[in-house]
Amino acid sequence: MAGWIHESEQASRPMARAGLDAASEMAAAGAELGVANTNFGYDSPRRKHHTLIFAITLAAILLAISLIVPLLPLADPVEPDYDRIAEAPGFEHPLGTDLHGRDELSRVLWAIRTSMIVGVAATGLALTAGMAAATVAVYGGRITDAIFMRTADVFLSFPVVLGAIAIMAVMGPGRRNVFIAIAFFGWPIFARVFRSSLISIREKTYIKAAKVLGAGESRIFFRHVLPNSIPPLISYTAVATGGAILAEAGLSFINLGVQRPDPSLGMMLSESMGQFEPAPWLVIVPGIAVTLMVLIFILIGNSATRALNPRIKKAG
Amino acid sequence: MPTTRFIFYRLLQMLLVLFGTVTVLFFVIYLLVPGDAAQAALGNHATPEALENLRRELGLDRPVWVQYGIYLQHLAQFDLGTSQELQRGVGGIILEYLPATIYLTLAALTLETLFGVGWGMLMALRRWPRLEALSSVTSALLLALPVFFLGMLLQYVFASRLGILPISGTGGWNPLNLVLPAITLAAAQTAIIAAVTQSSLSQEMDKPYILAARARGLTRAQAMLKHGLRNVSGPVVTILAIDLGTLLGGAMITEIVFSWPGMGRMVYNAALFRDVPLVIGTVLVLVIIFVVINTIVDILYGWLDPRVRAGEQANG
Repeated sequence: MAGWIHESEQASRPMARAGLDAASEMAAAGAELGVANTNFGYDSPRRKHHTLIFAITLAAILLAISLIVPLLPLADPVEPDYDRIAEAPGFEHPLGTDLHGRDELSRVLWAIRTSMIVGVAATGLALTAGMAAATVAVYGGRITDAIFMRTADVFLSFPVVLGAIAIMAVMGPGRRNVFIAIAFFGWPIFARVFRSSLISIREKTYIKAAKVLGAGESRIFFRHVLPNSIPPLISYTAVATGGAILAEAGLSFINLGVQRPDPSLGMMLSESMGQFEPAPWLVIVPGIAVTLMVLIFILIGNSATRALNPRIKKAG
Repeated sequence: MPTTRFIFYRLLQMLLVLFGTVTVLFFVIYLLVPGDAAQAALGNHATPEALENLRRELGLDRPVWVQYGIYLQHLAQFDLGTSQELQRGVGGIILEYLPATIYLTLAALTLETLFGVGWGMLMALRRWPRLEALSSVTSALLLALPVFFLGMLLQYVFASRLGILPISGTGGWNPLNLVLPAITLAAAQTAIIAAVTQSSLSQEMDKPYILAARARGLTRAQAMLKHGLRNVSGPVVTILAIDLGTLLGGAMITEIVFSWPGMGRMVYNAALFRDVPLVIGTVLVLVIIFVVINTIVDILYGWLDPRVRAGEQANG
């Protein structure tokens, strides 16, 4: 069963359930970033943790690749070699060369590194900002809460890609600007989810018990409220990372993302437009790389939802 | 809550969001543009006097809140500024490119509704042991495929290889031109709509009124079509309205792949020349369209379904 839909309906109960609220929470996390948690009831209990472990392993491999790329004995991803333009995959260049004679394997690995850096940095920034905003909103009283949540509404009204286009056009291209632009419109989803989570955890009996036992406000927050409020964020974070990778690729595709000569999967694809006939590897290699990266994060999100929330399993 | 008060409340909320949107964009420009608008308009070789004059003319020498006031005043008169590159009013340029984008977006919305709802209904009808795995994999794949990569794949298969559809969207309003761009744009959202339909429909199908319908001799399919579907139309339409934002953002990228003569190409060129007023104006217009349509859908939904209005009251 599509985990988020259940989860966000539960989460949104304390909030106004009109239009840009309940639905946007789910859609914001999914639709706005171009991804959503869709599983169509396909789950066999024996396999669920296997999928999660499998997906996390793949993500770890991706992360490892992007960390060690500079150490690998690869051809220069930037320096053109006009004697070997668009060579088919062969012994010397396992994935062929691009229109400037650069080694495609080296470029795709460097571009994966770019995608991972932007995806993880953008999501990390949005997550941190969203959690901070939600904490201030929940503990700051009614007025602070209203101000923060209405601000989140405003940012939610920007489809992420459109908002990022505006920021990139103003700030100019570059890797740092891309992750700022994506996080700038990505934080409200995390603020929304974390706020609902905090509110529901704060009402739990064990929190009252801790209070009765004399625990201080900050001890209760850090020892009890915070750790228990985080799980709902996990799948959002995974899927949002995939969304950020997609957004970066999209922005770079329309020249509003990573700047040349930094290799980026979106830019590699935009340079290969119209090359499918003569040099299919120039389209297929970066295309499959983006798709697989996003797929891995969607898979983590999907399987984490199910592993963390046994109720959804039964409902499926 | 009475209907009129509900409508009033939603309209007020919409105005607040629009006001916030405009404010966010103003500060994006004000804080992030390197140099200032006068420098950007006149280039690096402008004389200090010319710069000074233009600054005074644009109000750039005034304090920020006065500039903000001027900006709001212009917007209230539907004046989005002047494009630096084309030396024409931004509003006029947008109106010129808007129809093609709307045309593409509506086509994608139609596809996504038909196939998404159909897919969701099929999956909610009963358990399909084989199909569920396939459906789950397909939806994850559709969500992970970047629009530009999917677009290039479809171009290759249906235009280059099979030659049954035109490769680009230019060349008149021939509906055949629309097929590939619309499919490309709709793909990811179709998976989301399918998931939402399937999830809310399977919940609905467990309710007593469906059992009553079955007892009266309707088949499960008939009960779903005659009763179940009507009750999930609300959430599905709400998600469709929210998807519109993603579609508008995705259209920007799809249009580049298919040379579609809409706002995407226009923004692409504007961004290349760092034409800030044109890019910001375009984003603003698209966000306004998105927010207004969402409000209309919300109001209609609340008007048709009293439970929504009641929920609004219960939660403030």
